[in-house]
Amino acid sequence: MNSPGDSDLLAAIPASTRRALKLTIGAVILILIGISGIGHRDGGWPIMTWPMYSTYEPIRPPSIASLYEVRIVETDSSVRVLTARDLAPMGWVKAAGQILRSAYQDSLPTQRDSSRAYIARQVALRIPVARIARIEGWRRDWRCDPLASPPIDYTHPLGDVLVGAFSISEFARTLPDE
Amino acid sequence: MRKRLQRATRAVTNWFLAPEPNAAGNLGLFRIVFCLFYLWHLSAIVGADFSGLPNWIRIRILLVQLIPLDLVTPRYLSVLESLVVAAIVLLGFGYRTRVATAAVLVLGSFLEAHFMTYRTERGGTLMVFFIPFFMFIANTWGKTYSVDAMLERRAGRPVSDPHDPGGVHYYPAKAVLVVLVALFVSAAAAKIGPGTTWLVRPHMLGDQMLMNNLNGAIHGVPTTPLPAFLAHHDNVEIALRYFVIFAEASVLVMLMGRAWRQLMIPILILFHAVNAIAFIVTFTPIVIVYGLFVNWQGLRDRLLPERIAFLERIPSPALIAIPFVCASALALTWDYGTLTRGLFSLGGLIDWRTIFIPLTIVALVSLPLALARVLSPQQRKQ
Repeated sequence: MNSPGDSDLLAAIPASTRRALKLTIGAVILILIGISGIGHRDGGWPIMTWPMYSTYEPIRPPSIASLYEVRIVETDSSVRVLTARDLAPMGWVKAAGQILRSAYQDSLPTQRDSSRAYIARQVALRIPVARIARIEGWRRDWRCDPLASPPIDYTHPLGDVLVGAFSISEFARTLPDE
Repeated sequence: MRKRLQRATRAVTNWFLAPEPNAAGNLGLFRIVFCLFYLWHLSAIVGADFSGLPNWIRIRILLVQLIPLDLVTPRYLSVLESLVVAAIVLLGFGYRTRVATAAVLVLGSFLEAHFMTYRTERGGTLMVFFIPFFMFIANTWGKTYSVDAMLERRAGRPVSDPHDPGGVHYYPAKAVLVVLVALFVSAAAAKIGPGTTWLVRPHMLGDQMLMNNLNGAIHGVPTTPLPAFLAHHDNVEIALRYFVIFAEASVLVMLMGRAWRQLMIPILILFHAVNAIAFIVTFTPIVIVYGLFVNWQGLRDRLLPERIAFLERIPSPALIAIPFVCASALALTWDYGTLTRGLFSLGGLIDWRTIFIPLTIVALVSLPLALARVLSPQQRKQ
């Protein structure tokens, strides 16, 4: 900290500024108490801590990498593709990818259906519902070498696998009235 | 005991009120930079994408959990985004700065809380909550470079000189600094505290970075050979784990004065840049906090030493109308097409990663100068 010096700077400022300063210092103290007390809990945001990978369980990278994507087949048989990156900016892409995977490969029906409802809603935002014939889930696999750079040889996919399909009408009830 | 407490209180208040060169101007210019950065941050996120998130992926966040999922429609999120954009624009112009700060704080935090429900890193919290929170209490960042200040001057009332070094302008920045330091220290503590895997599991960091690299590659993000290098070299990987703890804890020295702060800022920017570019760790919004400690007024004096004369010729009613016109225009067009959003990301050129290219250059240039300042006993005392 800077040396406080002999003079008291507080005495030299107007009363309103003094009040605001005291409030600021009080808030800082409460926030510090909050960070050390409840900061580790998710629900307390914006009071939080930064765990920053401290409790991650390391996973050996797999030898096959998979990308899930949604292919929207329209009534005129044209196809539009939606990937996790279309659904979310970079910081959220991993979570968006999990939703795509869950929509077609989740063993828990309620979880799978809530993921499908989300995808149906996102598709409806982009394409008029009347034009959507079905929403297919595809998985593209590549053999990968995590120690190579880049770790994936994009030119040689192992193939595209259809992992499921559903109709948007199954989730019509959950679409927003807009 | 009482005397000790008084001495401690005085030391704390005097630390908060210590003079800073160009304090008034720096904070006024930072307000504008903050608003541009915030708009850039929002330009990459489409609120409607967060509508109807499945419950299983949501984190229950204070207040937001009380809103039924059905109500979180694309329209609702879009309107909320537009309101935040309008508030940020008004704040950038500095019209009714305190009210605009309150609006940015409340609406911005509320919007971000919706994004937070989608498990993610929390680099944006200082920007959306802590900076506007302390600025709202202190109400000092609208005293210069604002419509408010211009109207005050025209009304013949005294206004702050941008070169005023008074700590009374700058203490909210110091409050943000304390929170920043506490969060970094929490990151270091979490890595050595109970339940940590950081120092315990072999190949922890190497494997994690390989996974980040692979996930990035799956989603088409350009990758680098650094994660593979790290995974190949155990000694480097272990050293890096200790280095990260050291780097996070060493942020404490930023409380020791300006010279240390100026040294740590380029180091931290390089730290974030390596994380983003080499390891695909997205924590980008945090960099705006470092802007609180940049000598913006010094830059302005060098680049634009003359007073901007045309501003003086704008009649007062127009001065008030312009922020509202701009706020309305941006808010109403924010969700129509990509043009408005593209203005703030230069058509997608500045993203969470590329922003570090200019920042890295600036950090590399300023690091030796900052180091020289720390090594000079005279300057270190400042």
